[in-house]
Amino acid sequence: MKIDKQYILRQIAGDYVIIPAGKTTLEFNGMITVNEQGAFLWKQLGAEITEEKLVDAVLEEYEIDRQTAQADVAEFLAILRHCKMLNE
Amino acid sequence: MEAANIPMQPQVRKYFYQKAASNLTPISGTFELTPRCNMNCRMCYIRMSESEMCARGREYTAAEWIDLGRTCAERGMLFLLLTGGEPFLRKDFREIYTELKKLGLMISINTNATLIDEKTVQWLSEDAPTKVNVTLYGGSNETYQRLCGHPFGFDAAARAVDLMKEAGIFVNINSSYTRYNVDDMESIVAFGKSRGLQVNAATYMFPPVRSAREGVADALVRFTPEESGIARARFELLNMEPEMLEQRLRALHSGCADAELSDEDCERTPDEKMGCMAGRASFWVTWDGRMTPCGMMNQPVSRPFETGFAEAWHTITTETNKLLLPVACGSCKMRSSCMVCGALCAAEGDGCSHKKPEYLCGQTRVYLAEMEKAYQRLYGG
Ligand code: SF4
Repeated sequence: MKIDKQYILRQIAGDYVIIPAGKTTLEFNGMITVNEQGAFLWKQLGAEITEEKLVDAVLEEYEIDRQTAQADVAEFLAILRHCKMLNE
Repeated sequence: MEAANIPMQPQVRKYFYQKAASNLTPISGTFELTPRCNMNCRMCYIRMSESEMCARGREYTAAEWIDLGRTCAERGMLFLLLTGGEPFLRKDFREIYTELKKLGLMISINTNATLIDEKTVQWLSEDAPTKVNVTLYGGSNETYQRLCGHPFGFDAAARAVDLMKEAGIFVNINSSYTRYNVDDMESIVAFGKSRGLQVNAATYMFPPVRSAREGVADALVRFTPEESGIARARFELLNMEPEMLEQRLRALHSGCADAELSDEDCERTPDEKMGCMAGRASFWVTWDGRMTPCGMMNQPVSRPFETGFAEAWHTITTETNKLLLPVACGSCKMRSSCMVCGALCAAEGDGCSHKKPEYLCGQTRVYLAEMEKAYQRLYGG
C-alpha cells in the first residue's frame, strides 16, 4: 500500500498538517492534522509498504510494544482508508 | 475528516490562528498582487490605472512574490489570500499561483471573476484553490455599468461562478454595498441562494485611507451611519436561514448575541487591542511592497522586500501590540454586536485607533434597532 493522491505534509506552529495538492483538491478541500507519529507513518507510506513493515518501522522509531504499534498503525490506516487516501 | 468541498472547518482554522497568535507565527498572509483592475468601481480604495500605478511605484515581479511566499511558508504561513486590484489581470498570475501552491499553502483568491473563462477554470481545476471569493457588485449588467463601468460585468461574473461551481471549485460570494447598489441586495442574495453559495456582505465601507484619488473617494458612495445600519440588518434578514435568523433575533433581543460578523476573512478576538488576529498571526503585503497588519491600515508599516521578512514581521507584531481600542468600547453594551476593530478605528480616527468611532456606533445602534423591529414583527406578539 501507499498514499494514493497528491498531498503535501507540512509542519506548522508545532503541528503536522497534510494538505491536498493538484487534482486532489477538488475531492478533498480541507486539511488533516496529525501528530508526530502520524507524520512518521505518512512519510513511510510515500513509497509502497506493507502493514507489517509499517509496524516494524514504528517499533524501530518509538519505544512502544508491538501490540500498541499494531493498534496505532491500524487506526491510522483506517482514517486514510476512510478519506480514500490509500492505494492498496 | 469529512471535509470534501468544505474548505476549512472553522474550529480548525481558529485553532491554528490562536496557536499562531500565541507564538507570533505569521499563519495567514495576503498578497495584493496588483492595484490594476479591468473594472473601475466607484467605491474601490485600491484600484489604480497603469499610469497612476507607475507614478507611485512598481508591481513586484512574479519571482519576488514567489520568493516572499517561500520565506513566509518557512516561517509557518498556512493560509494565503491572493488579491488585487484584479489578480487575474496579471499576465504572470498563473506562474505566481502555481509556484505558491507548490509550497503547501491553503490559497484563496479574491476576484471580480469577469476575466475567468473556460480555459481559466480548466487550468484552476488542475490544482484548485481552497476558495475563490467572487465579489458581486450588483445583480444586473445595469448596476455593473453604473458602479463599475463594465457593461456586461454581471453576465461575465455569473458565468464564471457557474463554470467554477460546475468544475467543483469552492466559490463564495462577497458583496459590498453602497448607495449605488444597495437596491441589488435582494438579487445578489438570490443569486447565491439559487446556487447554494455562501454570500458575505460588507455594509460598512472604510473611509478611503488608501485611495489612489488622494483620499477623496466619491463622497456620495458611502452610506450615512443610519443607512449602513439599515443595510446591515436588511442583509442578515434576507440572507440568514430561518432557523439561524430566529436564533439571532432572539439572542439580540435578550442582549447576549455574539457578533455574527460576516467578514469571514477576519479572525476576530474579544481583546482591547486590535480585536482580531491582524499583526499577531496575519499580515498583508500591498502591491507596492508595504507590509501592514491588515489591508485597511497604513500604519504600522514595514518593507519585507527590502529588509527581509523576519525584520518586517517583527516590526508589525511589535507595533501592533501597542495599539489599543477606544476605552469606550471596553464597557459598551453594544460591543458584542459591533464590528469594531483596530483597523476600523484607525481609519475613522485619522490614524488614531483609540478614538471612539462615532460612525460605527451610529451604525451599530441603528442595526440593533432594525433587528429589534424585526424581532417584534416576527415573535413579539
Ligand atoms: S458601538 Fe461604538 S463604543 Fe460601542 S463597541 Fe462599537 S465602536 Fe465601540
